[in-house]
Amino acid sequence: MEPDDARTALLEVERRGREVRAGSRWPITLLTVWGVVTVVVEPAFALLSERPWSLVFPMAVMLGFVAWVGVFAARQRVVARGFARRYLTVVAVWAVLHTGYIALITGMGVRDPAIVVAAGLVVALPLFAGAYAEGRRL
Amino acid sequence: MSHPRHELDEVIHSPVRMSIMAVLAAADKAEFGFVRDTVEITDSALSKQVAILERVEYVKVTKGYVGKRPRTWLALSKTGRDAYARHLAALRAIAEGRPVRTG
Repeated sequence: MEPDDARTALLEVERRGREVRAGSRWPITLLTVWGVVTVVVEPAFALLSERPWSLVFPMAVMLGFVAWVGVFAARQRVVARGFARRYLTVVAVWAVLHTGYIALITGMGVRDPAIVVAAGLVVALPLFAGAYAEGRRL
Repeated sequence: MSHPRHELDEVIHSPVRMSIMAVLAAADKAEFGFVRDTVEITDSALSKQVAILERVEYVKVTKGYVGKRPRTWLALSKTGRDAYARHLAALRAIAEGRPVRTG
């Protein structure tokens, strides 16, 4: 094999890598939608917790989101290298923040809109950061 | 030190198999149809090449269903990833006109 042939083969490898990354944009959508759902649902839980029957609305949003994730993820054809590890990291951080939110904001009955919305944004932050990081990888 | 051409992997060296390995190297796993469309070959040609890569344990094939639709997933094994990394190192060495360090 000549150096030119090797360079051509390496360019082909780079091209294939780019094509795979282009087909791996779906985690950006997934994490962004999850972040938006979190920003809406977390404050709703806190603000509506006085009237338990009204919690049916944020719960419906959450169930709709979970159903959408099942269909959306099943339709994807490629999982980018290392995504599972990055995804689990984001989910773990989100789970810790979400648990903290439920315990501190909803559990303690905090209903100041400014605080619950700001706290909801904090819970969603790892999801938006994950989406941004996935976008940077493309 | 040895000439890098000795480090080229005979199985991966084929252009089609090289393309398949390059696609799978950039992914944790990829659906059969995605690899077929990306490498631009037919189902039967991909099946044949995947069988060769599976025989040397470079590629793992997983079959399953999404709803009622059958799906076949392809992924590089650890052996495949290592062999691919060695092959790429040899290609880089050839491209740069230097020997490759072995062992």
